[in-house]
Amino acid sequence: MKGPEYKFEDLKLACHEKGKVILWNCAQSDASQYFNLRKLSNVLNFVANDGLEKLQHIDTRPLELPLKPPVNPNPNVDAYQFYSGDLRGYMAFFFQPITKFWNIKSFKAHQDGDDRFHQLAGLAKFLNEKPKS
Amino acid sequence: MENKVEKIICPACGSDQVETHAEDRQLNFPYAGLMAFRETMNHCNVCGVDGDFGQSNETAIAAVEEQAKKISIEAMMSYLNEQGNSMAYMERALDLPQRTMVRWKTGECSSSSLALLRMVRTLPWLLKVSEARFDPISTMQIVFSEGVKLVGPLVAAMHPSARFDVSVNSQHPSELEVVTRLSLNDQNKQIDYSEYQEIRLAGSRS
Repeated sequence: MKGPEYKFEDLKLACHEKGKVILWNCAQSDASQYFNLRKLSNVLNFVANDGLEKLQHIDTRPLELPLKPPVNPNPNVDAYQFYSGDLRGYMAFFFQPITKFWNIKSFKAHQDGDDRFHQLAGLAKFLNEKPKS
Repeated sequence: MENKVEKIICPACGSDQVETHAEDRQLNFPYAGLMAFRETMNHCNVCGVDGDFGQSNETAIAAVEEQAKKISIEAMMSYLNEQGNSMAYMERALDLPQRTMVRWKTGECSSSSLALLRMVRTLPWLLKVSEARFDPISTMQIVFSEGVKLVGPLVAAMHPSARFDVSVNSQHPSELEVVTRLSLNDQNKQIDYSEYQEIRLAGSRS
């Protein structure tokens, strides 16, 4: 698995400064709904002040924008899971060198997978089973 | 919905094809309910990302938070007073300086005071716990007693003549002993039977 693209400390430092980090709308809505972090400043202070406990890098993938326009250079997105109390969270972010903005594109309660994943896993298990003789 | 195109740069792709619009949104606050406010939202027509790129919603959300705070303080205090808890009693029980709660009501309520008030409003028996100076044995008795108050109606709902009683036996000051009894007398069926269940919780005073 590829390691993280960015130093997490760099994001934390950016969160301390005004106008360096932006939250996508879905991330802000989820942060409000799941973590009671209603404002951008709430989320940034939470990240900057070590609110993300047991932080663990999940993966790093090239950025995919909703309308998929060509972006050059196309940054990578780091995804992490974390805990806050008993609540497990998921955060994905990237740094866009064109705009010099850190973008938090996802900040939500973490789910291991959805039903489709489980159905596919079941199908894979079924396909891998050896026929009974 | 008001739409206009401004020269705001999309932080995700760098495009200046960013549309700004305002929409009504609601936030839910404890003991204040849903509060509406006008939110400014940006949409990048090139990459499709939505967000508050100009970071202009902070003030609007802070204002609605302040409004919700005032409404909830009024509602929580009114409820606690209606339940027979005077401000003087609550201040004494919580070991707060006199007239603290009046100041809360008139707007001098910090975030930590608001958190305390929400807890007391949700679990009013915390006043008794605080009044007992957080003594572990008293706390356990109060928690248990309040639990029984919740369980009692549930048991009664299961059977009209069911009773769920609790008595506290603290003859031995070094130990806590709580005895619960679940009895069931069905007089409608002319049957006099009882189910007796005893649960003993013993804890040493540390």
